[in-house]
Amino acid sequence: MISLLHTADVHLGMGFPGLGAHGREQREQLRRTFARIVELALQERVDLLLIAGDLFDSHRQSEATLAFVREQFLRLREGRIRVALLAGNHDPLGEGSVWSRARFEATCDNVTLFGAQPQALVLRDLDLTVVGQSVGPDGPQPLRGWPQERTTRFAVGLAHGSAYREGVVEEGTIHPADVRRLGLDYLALGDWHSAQAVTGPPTPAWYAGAPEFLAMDQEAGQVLLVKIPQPGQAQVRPVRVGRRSYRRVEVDVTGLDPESVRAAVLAAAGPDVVLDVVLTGTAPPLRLPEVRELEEALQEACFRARVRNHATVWLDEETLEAFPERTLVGRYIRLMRERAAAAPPQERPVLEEALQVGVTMLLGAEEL
Amino acid sequence: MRLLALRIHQFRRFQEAAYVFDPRFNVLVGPNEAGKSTVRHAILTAFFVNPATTAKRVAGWRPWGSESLGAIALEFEVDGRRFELRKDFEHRRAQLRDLDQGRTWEGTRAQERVLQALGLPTEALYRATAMVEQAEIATLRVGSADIGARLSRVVQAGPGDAEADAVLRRLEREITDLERGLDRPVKNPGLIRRLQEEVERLQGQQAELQRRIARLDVQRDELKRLRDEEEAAARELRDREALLRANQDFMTLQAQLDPLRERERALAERIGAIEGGYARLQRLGRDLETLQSRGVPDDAAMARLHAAAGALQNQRHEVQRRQEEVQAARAAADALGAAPSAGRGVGIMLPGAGLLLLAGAAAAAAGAIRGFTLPLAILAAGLLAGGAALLVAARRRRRLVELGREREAAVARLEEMERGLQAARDALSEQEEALRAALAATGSATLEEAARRHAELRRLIQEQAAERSLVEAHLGGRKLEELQEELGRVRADVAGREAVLLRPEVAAKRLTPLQVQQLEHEVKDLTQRVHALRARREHLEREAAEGAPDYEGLMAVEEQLAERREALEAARHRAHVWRAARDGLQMARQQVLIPARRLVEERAGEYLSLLTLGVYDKVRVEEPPLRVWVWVPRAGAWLEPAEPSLSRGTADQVYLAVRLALVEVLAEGSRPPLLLDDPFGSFDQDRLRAAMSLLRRVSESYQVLLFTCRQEYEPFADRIISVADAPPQLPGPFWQQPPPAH
Repeated sequence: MISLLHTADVHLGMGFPGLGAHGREQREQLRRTFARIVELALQERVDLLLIAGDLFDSHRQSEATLAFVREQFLRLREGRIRVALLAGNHDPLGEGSVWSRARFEATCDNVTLFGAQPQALVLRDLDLTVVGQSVGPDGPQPLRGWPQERTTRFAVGLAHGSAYREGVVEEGTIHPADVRRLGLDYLALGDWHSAQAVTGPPTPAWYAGAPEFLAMDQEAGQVLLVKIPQPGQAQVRPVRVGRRSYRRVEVDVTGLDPESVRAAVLAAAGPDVVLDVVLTGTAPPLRLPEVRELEEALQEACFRARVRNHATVWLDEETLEAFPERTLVGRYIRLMRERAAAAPPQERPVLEEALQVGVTMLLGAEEL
Repeated sequence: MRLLALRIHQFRRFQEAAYVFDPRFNVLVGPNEAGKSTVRHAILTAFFVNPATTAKRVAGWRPWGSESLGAIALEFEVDGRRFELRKDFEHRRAQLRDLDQGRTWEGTRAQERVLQALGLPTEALYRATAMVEQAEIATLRVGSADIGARLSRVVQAGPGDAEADAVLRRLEREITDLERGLDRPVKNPGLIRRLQEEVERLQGQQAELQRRIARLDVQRDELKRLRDEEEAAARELRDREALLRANQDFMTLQAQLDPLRERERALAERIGAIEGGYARLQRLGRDLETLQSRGVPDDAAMARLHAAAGALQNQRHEVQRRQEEVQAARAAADALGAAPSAGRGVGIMLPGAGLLLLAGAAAAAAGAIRGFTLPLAILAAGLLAGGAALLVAARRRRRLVELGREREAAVARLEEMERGLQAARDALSEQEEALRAALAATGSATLEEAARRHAELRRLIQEQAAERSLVEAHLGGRKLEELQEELGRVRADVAGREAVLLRPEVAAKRLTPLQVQQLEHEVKDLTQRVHALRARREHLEREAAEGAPDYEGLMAVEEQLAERREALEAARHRAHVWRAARDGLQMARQQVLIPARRLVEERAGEYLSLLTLGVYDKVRVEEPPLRVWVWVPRAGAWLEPAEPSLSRGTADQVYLAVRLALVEVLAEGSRPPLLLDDPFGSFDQDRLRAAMSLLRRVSESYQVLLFTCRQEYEPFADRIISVADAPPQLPGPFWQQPPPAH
């Protein structure tokens, strides 16, 4: 049986402009998660760690980062675990690349960095062939010219690139038909940050996804443990390793008071959560959500939070009756609605928000 | 607002006083000096005066004989809620209590609430509108600025102008807080400016870090390039040096080869010479043997032969000489024998010759001195000639004598010579015989032959010696075998070197001397270049060691920058939204505002119509400055309500209507109590009734407190309060809950 740990898209050294002051912390977390992956590989005693590209976010890596990665590879070496490694589109091979500086293979003989041409690594003791191709200066060239005959019992592959999606035209995509044609027991893919299968048995191809949070709208945080008891019978099991997770919460404020909205949002919060809140629906003037207060509360409760208010003011006739036109609030509401209706599209959200702000302030003004 | 009760403690003329009011029409009646103005003053003080004030007039409120300042408590009702306002001037405290909900406000907050409830924020405005003093109905100039300022700020119901004002102030404040410093530098810039500055600062840091990293990247690239270049240059230098060394070796080999070849040639020549010499020596030896076998005189023999020959020759010469001597002697002797003999007189001739010569000389001298005469001359000449001849003859005679003697000697000699000659001839014969014998001993027939053979021998010996010497010289103290061995080694050396030089790979590298010279220059240049590259590389390595690219720092700055930009964008958006809200609110307020002037005109017209029973019903208000016009139908014109256009009574009606209208409009929904200090002094009964009717109607909306000393208002009142009566002493301490209003 062959036991593998498949990861990709670690993106060490990545910048997080969306996290502000937390960016440095998350960058540190990327390292810790990579160390966690190594620990998992040692713990599971896998035969091979597959890193399908983008281990680094760019070629601009400090010596400390390179030393850290080298240290992890040496830990695996001590545990007699080999590493099959690709360069991805963020850290492609070439002159001046991070690989030419790091030269891992010179100090870590358990590491194989595949070249820009399809290359086969035969591990006789495992009866395993590993085929891989890094991204070079010409960009991804996945599965082109890959050898199909095998001389060992098991055969797996590593590739970095985008899988074919219907209706999307991209160069160099990984087509499921090409995957099947290769007849590999498992193809470890990298590039997409959310884990998913591209093809199923007997020639499964998977994106492991990024093992740690990288950006909004991406489900990340896991690696794949792959066991191949017999050729064509790969079993894939996701294992969570990431610390921070992305959550998107959409709250329809219709019929909810501000406190209920706040409670619904805070229920999804957590210290390691990157929370993406979208408020939708409609609310009457007296029940408009207090976005700023919500954002302030979430900054304390989450690692990072973003609140987008797409809710609009509910202004049916009944609501408007409560605010007659002769009253200031009533006149204000009607005026702002008229203005919003007449304004260019890009200005309307501002006027809608101004309407909400004005109404909230007017109604919130203290009375005797 | 409707006043419910008033309690006064140590305020002006009152030690203690309490009044309970009706929510509608109250008439406070009392004679002059009863305290009516004090009650009005107390109400105004409760409304407008801050107990914490240090104004001197407050001290004037202390009742006579009292050491401390007093206090005023005013209970009132607003929209069904009861409040109690307390102002303690001694303790400088103000407190407002919501008697229904229990909330409390202190100090300025209490004051703000009261004014908000009153609807007229200043005493001046109140005095100009809700409070009508005696004979001051028309006095709209008091507080006209306030009236004018508020005429455009009126709203009907809902959050009123105060709230709009508060919201607008807040929006302005927020916008200012955001935008302060955008158009000009200020000490405390707003959020947007601060964020802009932060963004600029971070951009500067980013640029600096990027520059530094770019510089380090350039340095690193430069370092790599230098390393590659140094490596290539070093490689080329090694190759060139190797080629140079090889060629220098070749040249060394070549340089060694020539002398070696020379040495080989020399050795070969030497050995050849030696061997040739040996050969010749052998030949010479054979020749010598041959010669010696035939017999050859050696040097001694030859010397003897030569000596003998020489002696023989000498002897022959001697014989010859002797013969010639003999012949010569014989001839001489013969010659001597033929010569005449000498006579006598030789001894006299010579002195006589001498005397003749002297005389001749003396004559010549005398002639020379005295001059020659012919006889003297002939004498001189004759003497001289005679002397000379005499001399000659003397000499001849002597000679003949000598000759005779010589002849005798010669004959003797001749005989001797002949004897010697003969001896010589004998010796010669002996020598010739000896020579012949010697020659025969050497096997030579003749001396020449012997000499020839001897010369041959000598030649051979000399040649042999010379040859041997030559061979010896060539050998130089060494053996031929040694030389041959050396030649072998030298030839091997030469062959070896030649073999090296003839190798194809050597031939491929071999350069001409000129090319080698050029190559030396190239190597020198390359060496300098490699040194320069190495120095530059080491310098860059030192620089690079001092600072690694701070990617983390750059990333942190970029993250901060993104966050600040986001915050800046949010702040700008917020400012944009608030500006839109402010503009909208301002516009809404303007739109909602019933132009106060129009409202005043409408209301005043209504009130005037009531007051004048319809005679006048149109009022026009202009501002600024605040002026009132009334439409006078009979005149068909707008006229100011003043004499002579209109009577004083009508004018007062007009102004009363306008003031009542102003109260309604300027209080913006709040309904401050009206304090009227008997303003109808000029009204006749009809007008008075009309005024009271209006006040009754007005009291449905506004509490009226009419202060008068007359009693004709009493029928119209809901409560009559006698100010002249002793102020009721309400039980309990001042701050006790006053009796409930009815």
